[in-house]
Amino acid sequence: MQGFSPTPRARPSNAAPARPSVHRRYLARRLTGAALLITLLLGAAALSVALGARSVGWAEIHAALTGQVQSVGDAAVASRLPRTLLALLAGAALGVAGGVMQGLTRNPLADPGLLGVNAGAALAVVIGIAWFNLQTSLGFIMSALTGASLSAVAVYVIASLGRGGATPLRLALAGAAITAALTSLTTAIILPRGDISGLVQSWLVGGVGGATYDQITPVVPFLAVGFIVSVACARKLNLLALGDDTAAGLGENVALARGMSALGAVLLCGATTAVCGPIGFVGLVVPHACRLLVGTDYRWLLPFSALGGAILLLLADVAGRLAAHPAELDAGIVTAFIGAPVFIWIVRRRKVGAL
Amino acid sequence: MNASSLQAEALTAGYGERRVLDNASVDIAPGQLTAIVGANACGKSTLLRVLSRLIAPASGRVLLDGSAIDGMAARKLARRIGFLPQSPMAPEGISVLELVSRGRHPHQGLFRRWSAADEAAVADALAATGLLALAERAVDELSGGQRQRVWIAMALAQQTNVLLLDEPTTFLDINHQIEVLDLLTELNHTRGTTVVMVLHELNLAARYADTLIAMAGGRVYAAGTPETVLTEATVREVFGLESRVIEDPVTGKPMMIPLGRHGGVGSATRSS
Repeated sequence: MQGFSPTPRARPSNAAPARPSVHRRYLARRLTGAALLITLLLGAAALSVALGARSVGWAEIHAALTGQVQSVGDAAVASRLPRTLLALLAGAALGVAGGVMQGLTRNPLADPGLLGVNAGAALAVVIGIAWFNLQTSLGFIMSALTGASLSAVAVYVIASLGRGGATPLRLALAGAAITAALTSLTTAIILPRGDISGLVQSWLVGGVGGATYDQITPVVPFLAVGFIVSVACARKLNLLALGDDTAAGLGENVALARGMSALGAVLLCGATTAVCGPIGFVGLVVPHACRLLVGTDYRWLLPFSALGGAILLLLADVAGRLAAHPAELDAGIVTAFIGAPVFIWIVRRRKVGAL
Repeated sequence: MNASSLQAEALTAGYGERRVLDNASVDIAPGQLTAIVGANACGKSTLLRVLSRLIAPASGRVLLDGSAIDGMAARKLARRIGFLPQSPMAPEGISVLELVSRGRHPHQGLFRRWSAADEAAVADALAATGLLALAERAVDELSGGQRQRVWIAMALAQQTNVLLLDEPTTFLDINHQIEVLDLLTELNHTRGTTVVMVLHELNLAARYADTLIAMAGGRVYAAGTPETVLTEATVREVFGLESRVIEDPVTGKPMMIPLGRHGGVGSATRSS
C-alpha cells in the first residue's frame, strides 16, 4: 500500500527514513476491507429481516423491530429476527472454524465438514434423538459437542499412527474416512425409524429456518468460548503455517498449538451444528475469500472470516427464502450450491498443501 | 552480541525402534562456523534436531553455554537457538516482510505487542540479507536463492546466538549455494553467531567451516579443522569412497576429488 505512507509534509522533520512496518503497511487496506465487510453484513442482515415468503412494508418491519406485533406481517418479520441472529452467529462460527482448521491441518481444503467434526456431531445428535428421546437445546448442544470432539480425537489419533505423526495429508485422509463411516452409521440409524426420520432429515439438511431465541440462547456461551479460544490461537496458526519444525524452532509447542486450536474449532462447529444441523462449504469458502482480502495473517484472517461467514450464511438464507417462493430452501442447500463451484475453483487454482 | 557454545554429551536418539544417533558427542566452541558432513542416514540431521531440541534424546544431554537445554522454556530457548529446517514452508502469498517478522515470535509475550525492538530487528535482518528492496514481494515469487535468504533473515530476526541450519544449500544452483554460504560467513564474522549446519557438499564444507564434524553410523567419526578431518582415510571410512585430497588452489583448504571405480578416468577420455 504505497498510498498509505504519510506525505512528506505530515511526517515530522526528524523522523527516521521510512522503514518497512508490518503493522502499518497493510493497515489501510485491512481497515478498508473491514469497513466493506461490516457494511455488507449490515446490508445482509437488513435483507434477512425485510425479505421472505411474505412481502412486508416499512410499517411491519418497524412494528416488529420495536416489539409491537399486531398483524400477520408484523409476526412474519418478528420471526425473522431470531433467524437472522442465528444465521449471523452460525455463519461467523463456521467461517472462523474453517479458517482455524485450514491453519491447523495446513490443508486448503479443510473445512468443518472434513476432519469428521460435523459428521461426528450429526451422528451424536441423531443417536440422541433416536435412542434417548433428546429434545432440549442443551441436550442437542452437549451431544453435538461430544460427537464433534470424539470424532476430532479419533481423526487425530488415526492420523498420528505410524511414523511422522499427524501430517496435514494424513489428517485429511483420516477425516474423510471417519466422515464416510459416521455418515453411513447415521443413515443406518435413521432408516428403520420412520417416526423420527422426518425431524432428523430436515435437521440434517442444515439451515436456520424456524429458529427461536430459546434455541439460540444456550449455544451463545459455547460460541463465545469457541471464538475466544480460536482468536487466541491466531499467532500459533501463523507459526504452524511455516511448518512444524520452523514453528518448534520459534519456540512454539506444536502439539499444544494444534490441540488448542482444534478445541476452538470443535466448540464452534459442534455448537453450530447442534442448532442448525451440518452446514457445509461456509467454512471452506469464506477463509479463502478473506485471504484474498487480508492475506495470510490469522490475526486478521479469523475476524474477517467471522464477518464473511455471517454475510454468506445470511445471504444464503435470504436466497433460499426467495428462490423457492412461497416455500423455502434451507440455507445448507444454498451454501452447497455456492460452495461446490468455489471448491472446484480452489482445487484447480491452488497447489494442494500450499498453505 | 555474545557468542554461545554448544555441547552434546553422549547423545543417543532415534525414531521408534530405529536408533539413529549412537553415543554422539560434539563440542562446538563459541563463534565457530561448524559443518556436519556424512553419508545419507548417518544421523547428521538427527544430531542437529537434538541440538535444537526438536527431538529429545533417549540418553545424553545438550548444554548451551554450560547449562542443559532440556528444562528450558520453549520461548526462552528460541531466543538463544535458532533452527532452520531443510524445507520450511511459506504460506501462499505471504510477503517477505511478514515472513521475516514471524521470527520475532519468541520475543513477544501473550500481551507484549509489536515493539520498536521488533521493528529494528526485522529491518536489520532484511538489511543484512540484502532483502530491503524485496520486502514487499511475495515469497513464492522469489528465486530459490532469494527464498533461502528470506528464511535466513527470519532466523536473524530471531536474534539468537546460535543458528542451526539443516542443509541450507540443498536444491540451490551453485551460485546460490555460494551466496548463502557467503552470507552465513558474514553473519558469523560480524555478529559472532555460532553457526552449525548440515552440508552435503564436502568441498564447500571444508572451504567455509572452521570446524568439520564427520559422522558415520550415528557416531562422530572425526571432528576438527578441515585439514585434519577431510582426509582420504575419512572419505573412505565415512562415504566408502576412494578419493584424492589436494590443496584447494584458491583457499589452501583441503579439496576432495572422488576417484570412483574407474579411477576418475571415465567418459571424458573414452568419448574423445
